[in-house]
Amino acid sequence: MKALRAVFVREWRLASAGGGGPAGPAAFMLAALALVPLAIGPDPDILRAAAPGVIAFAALLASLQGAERMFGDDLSDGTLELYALSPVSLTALSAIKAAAYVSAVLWPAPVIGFVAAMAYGMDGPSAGALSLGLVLALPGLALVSGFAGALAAGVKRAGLLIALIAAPLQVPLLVFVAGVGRAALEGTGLAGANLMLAGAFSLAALALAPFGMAAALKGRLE
Amino acid sequence: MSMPAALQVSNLALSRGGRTLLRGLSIMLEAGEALVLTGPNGTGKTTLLRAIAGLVRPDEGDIIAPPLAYLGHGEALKPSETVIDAISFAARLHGHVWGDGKGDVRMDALNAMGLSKRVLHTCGQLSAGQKRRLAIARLTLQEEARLWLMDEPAAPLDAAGRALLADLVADFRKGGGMVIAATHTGLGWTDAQALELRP
Repeated sequence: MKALRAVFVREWRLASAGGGGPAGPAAFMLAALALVPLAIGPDPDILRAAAPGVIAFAALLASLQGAERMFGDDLSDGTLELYALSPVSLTALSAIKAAAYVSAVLWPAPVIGFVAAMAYGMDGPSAGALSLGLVLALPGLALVSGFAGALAAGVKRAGLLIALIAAPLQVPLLVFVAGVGRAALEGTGLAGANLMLAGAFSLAALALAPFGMAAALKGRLE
Repeated sequence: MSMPAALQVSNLALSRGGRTLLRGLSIMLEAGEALVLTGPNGTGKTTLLRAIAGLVRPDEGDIIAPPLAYLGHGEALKPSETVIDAISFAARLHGHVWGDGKGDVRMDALNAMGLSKRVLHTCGQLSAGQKRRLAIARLTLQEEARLWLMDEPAAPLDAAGRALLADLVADFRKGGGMVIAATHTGLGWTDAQALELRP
């Protein structure tokens, strides 16, 4: 247990300071959300209707930003070998990495999502619901990004591979999070159901993805 | 389950990228013994060490190894981490506690490789030789390890660093430890066995 905590503390520190931290994905998401209105025009009704989907999409793309660094450096500098031979299993390491990625790198996404939703003209409760949807979706987004990052670790053009692997797997989260915002906006009463589905996807990813990541990492080490 | 006290490698076959590197290799190492692997580049020294560590699956043969510590090509150090953070993490990972009059295993490890004046430097500021020293110091924190696998342990080290490494290895062997090192440079270890791998 102590070893697991030590790994989390270290990975959290490295993720928040060593590799750029939350600034990169946050800047990416902000930039995307600031540019969209310029592209689709100033009509407030259209912007409000587009907000849930655009914000969920921006968060999804932001979650891919740091995926390449999650395991790439560890493979090339020998850290992964050290972990593989340590008392901590690669499965536990993978779950810890994803947790550190969420809490050190991706945490601004719900905040940015809330502010952007308000700016796009959504009402407070709907923006809050969308933001909560992002909170529930972040673990799933991070785990799927991490899985893609593990598969692509050490591969040339890892970024391309990560986008191609992760994006299709993240589609359900995109649909559920956007669904939360849209349902809240239109008052269809389905926001709660979409929230639960987003949370359920994250839980399912937590139960499966760490094993997939560990298997991928093991393969990369051979 | 009791851990084996010796290393037994029998009839090993290894390949890398579809090319066979070794065939029919057997190694027997008892407590306190050391083995130095030599041979040209690409003859499988690293792959052999990685196979013994369990990182690579052999094509054939059996490996029965005691608990081990592995010093690979990479130093596994992060440029933004300080020396003391790096060594503290390794100590925690292997269950060490310090303070409260117990002495400080971290400083003992750093002292053993002559790094005590570098504790607040970040790993990015260290020279290649100093990084190697830190990676070797980290190895000593794995107290349960009875076998050290070292891949080119001395390549970037200066004469003083090599002497410290030789002392460390001699101490470890005196306590019943076993060492296998792959090297192109003379290590100057006393009564170590030698194995030359040929292409």
